[in-house]
Amino acid sequence: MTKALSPLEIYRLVLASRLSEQRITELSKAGELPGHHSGLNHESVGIAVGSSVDFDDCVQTSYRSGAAVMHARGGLTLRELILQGFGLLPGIRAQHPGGARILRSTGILGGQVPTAVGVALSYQLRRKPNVVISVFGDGASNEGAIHECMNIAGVKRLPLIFVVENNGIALSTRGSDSTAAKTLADRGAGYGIPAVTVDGGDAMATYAAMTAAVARTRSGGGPQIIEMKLTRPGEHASVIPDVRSEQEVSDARLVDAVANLRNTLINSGTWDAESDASLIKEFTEIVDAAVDEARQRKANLKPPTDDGLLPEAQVWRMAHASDVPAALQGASR
Amino acid sequence: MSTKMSYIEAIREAHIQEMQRDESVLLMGIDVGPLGGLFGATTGIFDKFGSERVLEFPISETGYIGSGIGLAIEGFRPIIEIQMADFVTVALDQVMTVMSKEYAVTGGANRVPAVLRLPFGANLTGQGYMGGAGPAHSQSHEAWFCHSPGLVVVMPSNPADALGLLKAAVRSDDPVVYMEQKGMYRTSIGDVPDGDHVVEIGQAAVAREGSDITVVAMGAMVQVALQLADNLALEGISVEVVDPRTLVPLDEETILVSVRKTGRLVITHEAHRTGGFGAEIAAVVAEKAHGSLQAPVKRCAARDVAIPAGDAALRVLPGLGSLTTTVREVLAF
Ligand SMILES: Cc1ncc(C[n+]2csc(CCOP(=O)(O)OP(=O)(O)O)c2C)c(N)n1
Ligand SMILES: [Mg+2]
Repeated sequence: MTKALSPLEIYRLVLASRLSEQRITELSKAGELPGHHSGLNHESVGIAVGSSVDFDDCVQTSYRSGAAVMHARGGLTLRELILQGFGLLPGIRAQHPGGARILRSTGILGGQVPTAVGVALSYQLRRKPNVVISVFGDGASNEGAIHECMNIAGVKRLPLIFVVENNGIALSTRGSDSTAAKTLADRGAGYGIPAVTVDGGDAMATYAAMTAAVARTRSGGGPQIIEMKLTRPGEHASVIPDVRSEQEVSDARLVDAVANLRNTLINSGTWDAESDASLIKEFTEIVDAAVDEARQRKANLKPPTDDGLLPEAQVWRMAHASDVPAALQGASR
Repeated sequence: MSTKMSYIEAIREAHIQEMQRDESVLLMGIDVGPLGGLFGATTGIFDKFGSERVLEFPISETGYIGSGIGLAIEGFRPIIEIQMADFVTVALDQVMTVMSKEYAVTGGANRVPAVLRLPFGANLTGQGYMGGAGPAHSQSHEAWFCHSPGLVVVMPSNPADALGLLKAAVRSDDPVVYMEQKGMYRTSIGDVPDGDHVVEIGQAAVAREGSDITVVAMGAMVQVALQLADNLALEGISVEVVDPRTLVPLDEETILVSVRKTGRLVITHEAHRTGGFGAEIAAVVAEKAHGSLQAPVKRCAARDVAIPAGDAALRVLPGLGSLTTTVREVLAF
């Protein structure tokens, strides 16, 4: 079983995710790294999801909170979060060799979720005590695929938890223009699935909600929907302008799960400003060193060529698990 | 030793043999339980194997194809029945984005040994057409799947191949799109070898030997081409009929050997002509055997308009009349 984390342990995780995400976001906006869907302010969701599951439970990550999930599950250290941001490690939605169970999302919103249903069904058929968590955005939640999945999970009582990262906006489309439902948790009733809304600005509440949800589903309670309310402090991706007014953006920035938890810890006397400054310094040094390392490694990489002369058999092996057909053995193109 | 079976009985028998042989083989679909599927392809299978091997779903093609992908990643070998090939259109993202690419995108970490059964077409083994099928219940979409690397695509044209290719598809470690021509279900009857009859994927068959012209025919058009060969034999014209059986990976060699011998080629399929698989075969012959051609390659396919309901379908779909005309044109060149 996963061990319960103290508020300070959760704080260290969200802080590390924040500092790496901040750096990757800056480098992307500066043009050094390619376009990035920043995970700023989504750390609380990722850390809560990643900390509430066992190694062989399965998490289908989203592009915003996926890095934090992997950090919480021990799959990526702070240094590795930076290397991954530079493209030097498999992506946040990839199964890392030997790592905790991850399912990819495909880049087509909603299209990944049916795979998660199948994995949950496999756990049910094999009577495994595992759960699957599928994380996606509020915008994605309007895709038909996800409605089908919630309905199937409900009728088959699958060990599957849908986590909706509701940051109130999808690219440029506000939540109020996407659905007349008051909350996304309201949809649960239509599928016969219990659903709750949680304040993603409160990292401990988010963690508690996820831990409770996982325990309930693991003990045969069936699927659930957890709507995490949070905000997006910047543009959708570093290369896409924000359509929101200054007021909307500054309101969005007011909610900050990392700052909230820091204040709670300091106010309760478990933590103090001095220790906080030295922890930030320690983490920042790791980030700085990782950026230097990543830059050096990238400079030494040879880019692939475009001569298009891969042998047919090699192309088959890249695309297929089955043996290379006899006709393609030794064929050029 | 062999047993006489219809095409649909051969498909049912393949399910039973493979589900008995390997308990990771599952059947999934809509109405595939006690009813035995819309066309009765799986009659009796639910009684034999029960509700943990035969998984019924709500009408959610995206949801249950995707569930099959998840189950396959976890080591099951699902046979996913779509009631009619036309209905896969609502779930194409699952086939094109997830099923086909999972292996390549995960660098081989995830395999998808699933079979997607698509009952397609409307030709009743050369004895007319399923009259009422119309524009959305008689299509032949195989070319789409051939254009989605990672998939294997097979299309049996008789009961023995229907059984042997389905068994091979179940055993393949790749996702296999199994194109079953539903007009042949009860009109195509033939001897099926007893025992473990597996037809190797990637091997074409010369359905009839001849020397004057090659007709590459697919699905129900194989039977039509054989009728044509009988008719023209009376005039002393010798027609060779090649049935690719597998479209991906295509057995190019068998086609090229035939064309090099006859010097003339007609390709026929029930799918529409523009962008149909016949164009791919013509391209292969142009690339690799152009020097042997004594006449232009011609295609005899469905015309590029929605297939009408009722007898008007005959004006649009290929048949003995249009195939005979096309073959005579190529012979006369
Ligand atoms: C099917 C599909 N449509 C459109 C897109 C383009 N797209 C990528 S992210 C995005 C917004 C998603 O919003 P949401 O689900 O709320 O997630 P967020 O970015 O807010 O975290 C859009 C429209 C896509 N990737 N897939
Ligand atoms: Mg959003």
